[in-house]
Formats: sequence, C-alpha cells, structure tokens
Amino acid sequence: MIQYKKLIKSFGTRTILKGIDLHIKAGEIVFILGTSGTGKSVLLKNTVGLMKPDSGEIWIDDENVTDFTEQQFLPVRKKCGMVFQHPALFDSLSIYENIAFGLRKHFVLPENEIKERVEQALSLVNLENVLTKRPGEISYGMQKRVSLARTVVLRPKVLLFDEPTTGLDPVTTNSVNSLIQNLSRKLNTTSMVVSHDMHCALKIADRIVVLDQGQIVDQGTPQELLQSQVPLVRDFLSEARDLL
Amino acid sequence: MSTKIVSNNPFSILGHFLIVSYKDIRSFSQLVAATLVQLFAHLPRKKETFQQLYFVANGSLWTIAFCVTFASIVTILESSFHMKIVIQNDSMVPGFASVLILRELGSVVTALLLTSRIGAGMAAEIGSMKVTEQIDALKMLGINPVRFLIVPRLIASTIGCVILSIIANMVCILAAMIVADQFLGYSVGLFLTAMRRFVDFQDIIFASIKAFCFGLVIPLMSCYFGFNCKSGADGVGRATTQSVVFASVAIIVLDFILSYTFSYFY
Amino acid sequence: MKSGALFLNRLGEILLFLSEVLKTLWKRPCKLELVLEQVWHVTIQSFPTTAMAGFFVGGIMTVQFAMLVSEFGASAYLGGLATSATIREIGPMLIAFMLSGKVGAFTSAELGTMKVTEQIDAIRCLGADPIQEIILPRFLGIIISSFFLLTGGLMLSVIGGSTLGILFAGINPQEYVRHIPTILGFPSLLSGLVKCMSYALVLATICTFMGYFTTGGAKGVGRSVVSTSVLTMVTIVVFDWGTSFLGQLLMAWFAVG
Repeated sequence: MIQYKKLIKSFGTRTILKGIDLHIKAGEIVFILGTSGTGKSVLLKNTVGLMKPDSGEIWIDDENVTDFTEQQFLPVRKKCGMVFQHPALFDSLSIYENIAFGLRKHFVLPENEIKERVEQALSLVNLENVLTKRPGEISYGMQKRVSLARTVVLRPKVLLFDEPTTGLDPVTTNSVNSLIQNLSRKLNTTSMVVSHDMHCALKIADRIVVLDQGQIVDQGTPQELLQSQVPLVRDFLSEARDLL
Repeated sequence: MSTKIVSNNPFSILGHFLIVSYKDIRSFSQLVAATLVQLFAHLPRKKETFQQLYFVANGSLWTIAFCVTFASIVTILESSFHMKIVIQNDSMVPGFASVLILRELGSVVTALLLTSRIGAGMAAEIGSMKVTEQIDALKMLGINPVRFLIVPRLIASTIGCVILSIIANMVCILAAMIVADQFLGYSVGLFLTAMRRFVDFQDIIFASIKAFCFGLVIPLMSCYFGFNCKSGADGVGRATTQSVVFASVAIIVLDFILSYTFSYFY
Repeated sequence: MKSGALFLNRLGEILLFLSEVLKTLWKRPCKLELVLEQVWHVTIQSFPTTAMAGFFVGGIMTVQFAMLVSEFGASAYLGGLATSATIREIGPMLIAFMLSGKVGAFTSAELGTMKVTEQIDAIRCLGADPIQEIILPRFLGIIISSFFLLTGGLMLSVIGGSTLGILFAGINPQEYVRHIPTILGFPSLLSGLVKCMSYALVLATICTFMGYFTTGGAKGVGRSVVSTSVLTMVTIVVFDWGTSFLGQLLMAWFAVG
C-alpha cells in the first residue's frame, strides 16, 4: 500500500529522517512511536506531499508519488486522509461546512446526500447537535473528533493520524482508539498512527515501528515488541506497564 | 471586546458598544495609573531599560531614517509644485517645506513607524508571555509585572522617540536641502535663508514635546493589549493588530490636539 | 552586505508569490462571492478608523497651512492649498499607514493563525488549492476595499479640512471651497488616485505573503504581524516617492510634447 525507500529529509543542517525503509500493507494498523522531534510527523507530511523529501522514494498503490506536483497529488490526497495534530478546523466555517468542505471539492453530490454523509461521519465520532456551531464554540476534544470526521467523511483508503490522542482525556482517548480500530476492521482502511502512547499502540496496533534520531530502531507486532532488547523500546514499555 | 452581540436592535448594539468601551477605558486607565505609581515608587531597572532603549532606538534608526528621507523628498517636490501655482514667486519653497517637515512630518512619520515596529513588537512579546503564562509565573514569584515589564519599556520608548524624532528631523531637512540644491535650483545658502525666516527654535521644542507624548502612548497601548491577550495564536495576532491600530489613531488625534494648541504660541 | 542579500532574497520571494497569485487568478479564479464577502468585511471593519484618521489629517493640514498662508496674506488660497496637499501627498500616505495597521496586520494575523494551526495544510489535504481558496479572495478583497477606504478617507479629510478652516481660520465656507478647483486640477486628483491604487496593491501583497509564510506558533504570528506593518510602511513611503517622481516625469514630458 505505502512504501518508503531510503527516505531522507533535512531542514537546514539538521537531518530529520536518515533513510527510512518501510512497507505498510493494506488494511494494517501501524503505530509509529518515538520521542518528540524524531521526525514522525515529517514522515506523514512527506507521504501526502505537504513536504518534499530530499532523496528516496515514496510509493502509494504502486505509484511513485515522490516527484508529483501539487495538481498530481490531488487524487492521492483523496485516497489518503490526514488527521492533524491540531484540530485545524476552519474558524470561519460552521462544523457542517467544515466536514462538507472536502466532499464539495472532490465530488459533485446533491445537498441531501452531503447532509446524510456529514451526519453519518459525525455519528461515527459520537457527536451530535453540533452541526451549526462554530469551531470556537466547542471543546478541544470535540474539535479533534470533528477533524477526524472531516477526514473520514471522504472514505479514504488510507488514514494518517498525527498524534490523534494528544491532549485528550482518557475517556475520549479510548473512543478515538476504538474508532481507529473499527474503521480498519469494517471499511478495511489502512491506518498509520503517529503517537508516543505505547499503551494504545499495544492495544490496537497490528505492527509497531519505533523511530529514534530519524531511523527505525525496531519494529514488529506488539507481542514481538514486548520481547525487544532495544533500550528506547524498553523505556517506552516500562512506562506503558506502569499504566496497566 | 469580543462578547457576542445578542440582538440586532440598534439600541442594544449601541448599549453594548458603550458598555464594552466603558470597560476598556476603565481598565486602560487603571493600567496607566498603576504604571505611574510604579514609575515613581521605585527606581527603574537600569539594565532592562537600557536594553529596551537599544531595541527601540538603535533597532529602528535605519528604517526611520530611510523612510523620512523619502517622505521629505516628496514633501519638498510637492510644495514646490504648489507654490508655483499659488504665488508665482517660489523663493519661499524651502521655508515652507521645512516648516511642514519640522512641525508635522518628522515627528508623525517617526511615531507611526515606531508604532508598527516597537508597538507591535511589544504587544506580540507581552502577548506571548501572557499566553504562555509567563506573566502569571512572574506574579507567583512576587514580582509586579507592571514594574518589571511596562516601566522599562515606557521610559525607553519615551526617550527613544524623542531622540529618534530629532534625528529624523535632521535627516529630513538634510535630504530636502540636497534635493532642493540638485533638482529645484536652490543653493544651500538660499535654502538656509528661507528656512531662517520661517523656522524658530521653538519649532524643535514643540516637535520634541510631540515626540515625547507619542513615545508615552505607544508602549501604554501595546502593553495594555498585550496584557489582555486571549489565548492561542489567534489572540496574539489580534492583540498585536489592535495595539497598532489604536496607537496609530491615538497618535493622529494627539497630533491634531497638539498642533492646535501650539498654534496659539507662534 | 549580508542584509542587502537578505533584502534581495525577500524581494524575490515576494515577487514570486505575487506571480503565483496572479497566475492562479488567471487560470483558476476563485468564486466572486468570496471576494465580495472579503470586501464587505474589510470595509465595514476599517471604515471608522480610516474615516477618523482622514478627518484629523485634513484638520492638521488646514491648521498648519492657515498659519503659513496668513504670513503671505494669501488666506484666500487656504482651502485650495490644504486640500491639494492632502489629496496629492499627505492624505494617501497617512491613511495607508493606518490601513497597514488595520487591514494588513489583521489579515496577516488571520492567515498566520491559519498557517500555524495547520488549517492551510488541511485545505491542501482536502484537495483544495489554498492560494485559490484563501489567498486570492483576500488579495482581491483588500485591493478593492482599500481603494474604496483610501478614497473615502480622502473625502473625509477634505471635510475635516474645511471644518477646521471654518472653525480655526475663520474663513467662510464659500471662500474655502472657491479656490479648490483652481489648485486641485485633474492631474492632482489622478495622482492621488494612482497613489491609493498602488498602496492598495502593496498592502494586499505584503500582508498575504507574510501571513502565508508564517512559522513558529503564537510567537511566529506576532512576528509576522510586526514585519507586515513595518514592511508595508517602508514600501508605501518608497512608492509614495516613486509615484510622485513618475508624475513629475509625465508632467514634464507632456509639457514638452
């Protein structure tokens, strides 16, 4: 589904990604773990063309998207939805218009069908009665869920999450996690989740990839990771065990 | 400032506006009073004050010199254009232009530029401090934020504004003189003679008084909006914008009042 | 030397951005109602400020000129002189300064906030072009509305000037108005309008550019607001000189030809 080949990206003199080789299969939930500033978000942004890599290749669905122009990227972005770290809702639009934004850009749909799909997406994230509100009028957790709905409503084949649960309370965190799980089980969506929450990763991931200093230091299923001898992974694991 | 207007009834909008502006004026005057108390109650923090003075005066010197040069060139070209129409004898052009420069242009353009550079900078800085809860941290450490943050800025900006406007006036006159000499055919001697007829020493005093007042207004406005900054990137942007707008309007209105008052002393 | 290189670099970036915006305008224009919405917003928000600034600028010019012309004994010309000076030169410049604070800083704060909260990335991800969708309506809206605002401010400055002429210099209204047409010819009016037009363009370009390329959180937004207003003012002063100079060249050319 998504494949990275020797991906390198640097900002000025700092190299953030130092040759990432990774293959993500269709229908998988992959968690990318690592401490802050190890280039997890940069990896996601490279995937949908918000940033360009310095060298290396990115393949999505047997298509080399590395040198795509902004126009060529549009169909790719329809396929790959991204949920941002900040809710990134458009302040000037209502919740309804926020969610419908992508639908209006990509499809020509009658208004009642748009309404139906928006409501469906909102019910997926357990929200109701917010359609006419503005982003500033609802809480941060609700904003994050709306931003999730805005991405899901396009029914993408791949979902990229940039720290979906950071700043959320434990209850909402759980519901977001089960939502990610449901989406990939029911709709066979591929999910790539950037996070530093080992606890969640152990619960719902099919595969966990640990990044450190721009390189992959370990990867495997949750069971395999539990046996890992890499120091950073052990640190993550011990923190998650304290929670359990 | 951003409370919702509930109904569209003009009276309710007017009432809302009055209440909001009353609240704003009240808290602004409270801030001014607190600043004055702190200004005279303690010796100002020397190091911080000099740092701010460096930031205000040295940081803006080149920008201001550059801008007023262009402004004064335009002024003398335009006044030569006008004088030729009104009185065919245009020997008064240099005097005319230098009066305009000294009484208005020099100090107002300097103050407006300082507003956008220093005023906006201060509002952004204090706004960010407020958003990241640094001001609350100061209070927790038992430090009075008004004394710590506003007083040094107030002193620095007042001194800086007076110095800068004197320099700006000099640069203006010099630029006007060069342009008059090169393009309009007034020799330097002619320029100075015409200038002597119109300009008195009191013009420079008045220009400095204007600059002094502008220098007081800028940091007070910026610090007020910075202290009342709402959280988030949104809030900092809004505080910065508002401080620029209100300080600029205040400068124009103050300038009008001062010009009107000074006109009785000539 | 280094700051010179930086300046050229920045200038090049702004011009590239401007060409990008104009290219988008040519190839993929945005919806008209988005532009009109912006025009409405900007005009409503800034009209009181510009009107007030215009009124007082007119007043100041009259007060200053009244003292000067009374020395020449030419107070009959006060109206014409003050009005012409305001419209040709001081008025557009000071009102544009005001707008750079009000419209320019506001827009760059708004766009900067959208940038640092990843709203602009979200637009790209949802398959829309941020330049077409966000920048272009603001760019056009600011050009149109600041042109209106500047001319409106100029009218208010004439009113302010005549009010002060009557109150302060004690000239009766007819006399004040009578000499306006003799001094304020068509070229002067045109020069004032051309200045307004060019300032509007400067304002729109710089504030959208600065906002769109904001980085670094809430602090970054503050930073780009500051640089927007400073850069706009400096550019306006330079353009002020440029248009005056061009005007004189044209006048000379017509006079010869």
